[in-house]
Amino acid sequence: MMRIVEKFSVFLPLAVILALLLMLGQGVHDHLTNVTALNFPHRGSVVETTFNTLIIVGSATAISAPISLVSSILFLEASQTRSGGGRRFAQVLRRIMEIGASLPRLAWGVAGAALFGGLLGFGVSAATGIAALACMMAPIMFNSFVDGLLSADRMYRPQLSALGIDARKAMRAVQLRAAAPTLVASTVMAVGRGLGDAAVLLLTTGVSFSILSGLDASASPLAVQIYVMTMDIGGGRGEAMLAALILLVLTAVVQGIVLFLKPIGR
Amino acid sequence: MTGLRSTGRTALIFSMGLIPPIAVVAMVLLLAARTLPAFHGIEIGVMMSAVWAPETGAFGVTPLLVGTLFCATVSTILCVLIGVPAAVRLAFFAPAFESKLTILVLTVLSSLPSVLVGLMCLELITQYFGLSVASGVVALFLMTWPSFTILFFARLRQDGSHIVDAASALGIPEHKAVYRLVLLKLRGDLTLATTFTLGKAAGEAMAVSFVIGNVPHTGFLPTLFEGAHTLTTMVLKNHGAASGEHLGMVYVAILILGALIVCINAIGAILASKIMKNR
Repeated sequence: MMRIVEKFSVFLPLAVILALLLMLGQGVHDHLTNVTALNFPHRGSVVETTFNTLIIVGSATAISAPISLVSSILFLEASQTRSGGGRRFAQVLRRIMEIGASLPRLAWGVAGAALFGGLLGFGVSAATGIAALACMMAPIMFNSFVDGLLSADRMYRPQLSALGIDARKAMRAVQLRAAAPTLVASTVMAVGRGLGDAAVLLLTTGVSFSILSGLDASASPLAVQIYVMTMDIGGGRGEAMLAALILLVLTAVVQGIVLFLKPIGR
Repeated sequence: MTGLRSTGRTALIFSMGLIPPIAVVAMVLLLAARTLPAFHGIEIGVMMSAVWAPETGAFGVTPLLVGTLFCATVSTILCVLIGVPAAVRLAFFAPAFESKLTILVLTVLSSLPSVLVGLMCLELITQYFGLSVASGVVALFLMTWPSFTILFFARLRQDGSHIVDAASALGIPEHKAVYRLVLLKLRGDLTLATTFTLGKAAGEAMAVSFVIGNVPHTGFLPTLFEGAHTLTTMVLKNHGAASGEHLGMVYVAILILGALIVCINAIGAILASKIMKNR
């Protein structure tokens, strides 16, 4: 009995991915056969939302990655100081970031809309979306960066101490370089989360399927387009399918990069 | 001069490094502050009531909380029932090719955006279950089960192999060794993976909102084949249009959800560490 359950449970992932691919293939085929030159971009084209996605997620990553890296280095240095205060600070920092990473993405969307859109006056715009997404990505990146740096630290610190090399120099020269593949893989993984995120961006960037015209304008990424086209706009199924296929390809590319980088990190 | 520059650089790094934790704390405090209109205008009894109908001034979050916990619990049970046998087969009994291919597919599935899962469930699952709790449970299951399986597979590979080898040397059949010894040894890790999955399922919004119907359910517990609201779907659907006390309740709901997930994760960590200590 158990063996049958095991076989079924291993077959299930293959069945799900096949079902997804067939559904998207059929949906995109139906859409492209019904589309004419006149009605194709009638509600904004996927090319524009793909561009929006790349700009929004790219900007959020560009903000979030360096800040998270500095934060993780700060954590590492504080956790290795001899003073009790430094270690307590590191513990509090880690705990806060763990809570941040475990908060639902929707909470980041709601809080981002309130903070950046409301308090800081960015309104419903790309700037609010980028800032909220950067805030959501930071704890995820921080935790992975800390893990990567700690494993490099464990590997090299004894040798470097034996050679009498200063801890900060060692961090720059050896540990960061040793942890680089893990750091890049973590960043790419966070990009993957950002690409597919609709909860944060639906509440912050607003709904506009035209190309991003400025940071103060609304601009929907692919994930939001899929949601709105399916749930709120009648007859939007075809375009949602096309957007979903593009999003799936982008996600697969990101996942491929992560899988390629992980063995190097090991 | 060099010392001054070094101090300046350290101060800059220190202040930059503080931005993420400050952002997390600021977000949580802001959410808490935004709940104030709700607490000023709505009695606690009304908030705790079993009716969610904002148009009539009924702001009871109980059905939303029950809906969230019900869907998350059922999907997590499915995750464990299907994920554990899958992880066992992949770690110990599957041929190398099958194991590698399935792990690759599971990795892709675990990184699927929630809108894709929601769209798939809307197209394929609602044909059979309609817009209902059952469809929502399937969506949550598809969102959480791949990462649960990968997580548990990794633990089985890491800590289970030597137990199975030792048991085989003693003449104990491999299947028996896995289900009687390895799973017993790894029950702390299983607890951790399960509670982590439960927290993740509770916080999922987009995939569920595609298929759950987004209407308050009747009765205390929802049935599998009626529509329902969860905390997340209510926030998603109400955030744009709400104002005043209604918007305050949206913030209350998101704060309850955040606290619920943090509690689930904390309980999981405590339980797991107790189990591991007793081992």
